[in-house]
Amino acid sequence: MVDNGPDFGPGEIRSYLKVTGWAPVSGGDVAELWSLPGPADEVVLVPMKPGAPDFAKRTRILLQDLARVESEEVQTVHDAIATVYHDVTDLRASHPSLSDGSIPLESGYELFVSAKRLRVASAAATIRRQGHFRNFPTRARDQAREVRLGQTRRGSYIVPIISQARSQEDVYSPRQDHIDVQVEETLFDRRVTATMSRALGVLEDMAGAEREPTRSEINDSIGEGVSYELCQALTRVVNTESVSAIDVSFNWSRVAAPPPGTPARVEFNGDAINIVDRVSEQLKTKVYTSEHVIYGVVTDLSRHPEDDTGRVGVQTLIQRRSRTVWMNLADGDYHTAVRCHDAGIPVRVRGTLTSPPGGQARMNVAGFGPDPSLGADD
Amino acid sequence: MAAEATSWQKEQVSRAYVHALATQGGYTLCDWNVDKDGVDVTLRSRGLMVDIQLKCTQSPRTVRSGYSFDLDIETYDKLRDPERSAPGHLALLIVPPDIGRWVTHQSDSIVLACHGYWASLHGMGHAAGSSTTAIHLPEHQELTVKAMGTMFDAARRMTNSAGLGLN
Repeated sequence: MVDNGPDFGPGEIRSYLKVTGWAPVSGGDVAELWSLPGPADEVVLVPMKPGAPDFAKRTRILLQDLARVESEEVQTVHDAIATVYHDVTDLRASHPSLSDGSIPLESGYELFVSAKRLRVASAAATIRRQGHFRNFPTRARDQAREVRLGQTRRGSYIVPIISQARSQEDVYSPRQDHIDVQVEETLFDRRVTATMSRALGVLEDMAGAEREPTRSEINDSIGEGVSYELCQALTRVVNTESVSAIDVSFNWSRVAAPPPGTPARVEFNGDAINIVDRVSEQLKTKVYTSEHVIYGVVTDLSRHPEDDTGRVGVQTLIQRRSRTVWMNLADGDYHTAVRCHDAGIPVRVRGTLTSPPGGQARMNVAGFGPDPSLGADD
Repeated sequence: MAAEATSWQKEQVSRAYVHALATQGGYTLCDWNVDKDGVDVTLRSRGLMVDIQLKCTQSPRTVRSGYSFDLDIETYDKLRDPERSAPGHLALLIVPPDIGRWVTHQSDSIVLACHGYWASLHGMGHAAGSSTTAIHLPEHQELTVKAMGTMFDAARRMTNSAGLGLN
């Protein structure tokens, strides 16, 4: 890593310094000086040209300075900067026999495969809320190809899944009149991680309750992103001989606010997995229901004073192409749409979507509000 | 005739000279044991940095109004690169031909018989040669604490371009 040149550039360094309290004091094309307010009056130099012959050395000096100021290991600071734009989901298998840092091949295989299954199931639920998918949307399968796997860590066995995040301030401006495909692609990564976190949180609550979850609770959990496939991804790991529990922790990017209401860590031991198994059975066999979810920006608003509802256009990506979806919203939701439009807050809309090729896309709305995966208010 | 000192001895006495000056000037110092990017020492002062490649000789080549040193092109190109975040310099340290005269002990001091000259390479043009290029070190550019201050002035200018959109 550091000896061969850093795994990050000036953008990551500047973002990290900003979120840890440093401020720029002067700067040119090739270097900037940043200071940390306080009695120590620390100043560091940020190299701005990754192609320069001294970039690696300058970065090494910077890491040593930050490690000293933060009383951290250089590697820890390096990792924090390298992942400043990333959400890192740590999947940890635990069992007393794993204390030497190794894992039986079969359990390790299941853990790695589960990492992908969890991701695909969460991506599918980010597009459609469904109890049992059978066939995943293509976008969901594609998404799992885009996330990265970090270095495993010794101790218990940990597989880090690295996905993109984007700073709230880098998303959209007030009265945004169109979506940006590149921004939306990055936001999708964050939305999938948020869906996974929320779904696993709901599942953990159901598994930890004193009574069996009711049919209606299971039904509601679909709306939070729980699916048969998500449950199966967990049970396959814990049901291997040498894993007694799996825990998943979410380390949200420091430049993007954590999605509100998501747990930082969830854990499923053998007892919890028995309940997850029963939830999964019900999701597999229950009546097939499906609800689409779209994310985007409000670009059109129209309402006559005497009307009960307003007509709203939300520009979104459908099968990776930009489209405007039209919907009628009641008074409360319409006001939310106006507020989101004025503030440039992306929205999430659940409901039944019809998008005939060449025709107007419409949605019969079941839920409308600010996109909760971006740290937006509800 | 006095024996030629080893390159290790010449390198270490150069470092000692720069250490002494930097200490007097209040600059901290990073020492690079393995010179991978053409730099032997980095001087630091409140975030600013100055890089120096040290060369030491017992038989300097004198030219009109100073000295000349043949620097290898690879090092020259690294030090002159305009994208560097700290300016690169060449320092030529001159020591007596007789190693026994390098250090003289006196009752209240030791005298280091080493003196140096410097040249700023930052932003210089392509070298004409293919393996080395002659660097001119003017006699008025003695390597002193004051000279180090001048080097830091250049480093400061590199972090002070006008019209920056810092946020």
